[in-house]
Amino acid sequence: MASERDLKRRIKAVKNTEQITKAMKMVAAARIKKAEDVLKAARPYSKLLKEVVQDLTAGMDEVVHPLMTVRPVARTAYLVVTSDKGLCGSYNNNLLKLVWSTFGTVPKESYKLISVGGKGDKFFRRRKMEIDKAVTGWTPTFALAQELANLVTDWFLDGQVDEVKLVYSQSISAITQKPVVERILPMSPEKVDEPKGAGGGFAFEPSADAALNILLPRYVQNIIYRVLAESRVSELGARLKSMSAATDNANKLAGELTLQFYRIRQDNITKEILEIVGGAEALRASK
Amino acid sequence: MSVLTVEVVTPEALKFTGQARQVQLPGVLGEMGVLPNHEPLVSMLNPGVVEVRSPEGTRIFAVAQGFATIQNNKVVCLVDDAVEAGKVDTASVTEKVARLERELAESNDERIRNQLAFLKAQLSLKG
Repeated sequence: MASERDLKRRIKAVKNTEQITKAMKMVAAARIKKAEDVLKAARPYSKLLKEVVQDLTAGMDEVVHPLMTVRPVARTAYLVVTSDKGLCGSYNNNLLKLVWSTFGTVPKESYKLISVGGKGDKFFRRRKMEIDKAVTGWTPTFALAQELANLVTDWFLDGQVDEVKLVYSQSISAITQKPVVERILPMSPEKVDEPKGAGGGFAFEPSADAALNILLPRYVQNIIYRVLAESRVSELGARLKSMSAATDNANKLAGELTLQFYRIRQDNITKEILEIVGGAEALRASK
Repeated sequence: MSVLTVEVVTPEALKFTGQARQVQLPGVLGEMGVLPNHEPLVSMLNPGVVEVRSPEGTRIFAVAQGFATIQNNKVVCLVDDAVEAGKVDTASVTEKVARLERELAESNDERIRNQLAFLKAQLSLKG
C-alpha cells in the first residue's frame, strides 16, 4: 500500500500532466481552425483549374501529354507526409504502418522516397531506408508544394520514376483520419461526360498544347498543396483527439488517487484514535 | 454598359475580386487589354503586371506565371502568386533578385527565370 506522501506526490504529478495536455488540446483546437482556413482558401483556385483542364481536354479527341504517359512501372516515387511533432496519438503510426506494408521491404531500386515531416524522417533512418529528399519543420505553403511538385515531375519526365504516389492522412472529419496512398503521376485525364456550362468554346492562346504545358504541372502542384494542407488538418485533429483523451484520463486518475488518498488518511486517523483510546483504557484499568 | 467581373486567384487565396471597365494582362503573346464582351478565351500569362481599371480607380498587381480565363464578362486570373502595389516588401525582394540572378547565371533554369521575372515585376510597381 502506498503511503500518504507517495500518493500526494503522484496526485500532483498527474495534475501537472493534465495541465499540459489540456494546454496542448487548446492549442490544437485553435490551430485546426487556421489549418482549415488554409484548405478553404485553396478551393477557388483548384476548382477553377479543374474546370479549365476539363474544358481543355474535352475539346480534344485524344489527350497526349508527357505527364500522362503510362509506362510499365519499374520504379515508383513515394511522397510521404508525416508530422514534425509527436503527441498526436496514432497519427504517424498508422501512416507509417501503411508505408511499411506498401514499400517497406522492396529493394531500393524500385522506389524513390521523399519524406516530409520529422517523424517520417526518423522512421526511415531507423530502418536504414535511403531518403532522396527530406523536408522537416514544414508548413503547408504553396512554395513548398511547388518545390516538391517540380521535383517529382522532373523525375517522372526524365524517366527516373514511372509513377508518383502520395502517402498521407486524409481528414475524414475533425477527429477521424485515414492514411491513404494516392497516385498522381502519370495523370489520368478526367473525362467529363459533357462539357460544363458554356465551356468548350474557349480559344486558347497561344495554343491548346501550350496551355496543357502550363496547366498540367500546376495541376500536380495544386494536388500536392491540397495534400499538405489536409495533412496538417489531420495532424491537428489527431492531436486534439488524443490530448482530449489524455486530459480526461488524467482527470479520472487524479480523482481515483485522491479518493485513495482520503481513504488512507482516514484509516490512519482511525488507527491513531484507536491507539489513544486503547492507551487511555489501559491507563485507567491499571489505576 | 456592361462591366467586367475580375478575380485574381492564387493557390493560397483569392487575392482580389471586383468590377472593372478594363483589364490589362501580361499574355504570353504580348500585353493585352480586355474590354467587356470579349470573346471566350484562355490565355497563358507571363510573370508581369495586371491592371484592373474601374471608375473607382486602378488596382495594380504583380503576378507570377499562370493563366487567365475570359468568359461572359468574367476575367479570372489564376496565377502562382500575386502581390498588390503598395504591399511589396522591397528589401527582401531585392535581396532575392540578387540571389536568383546568381543562380540563373549558373543553371539557366526556366523556373528561376520565371521567378525572377515575377520579383522584378514587383519591383517595377514601386516606381
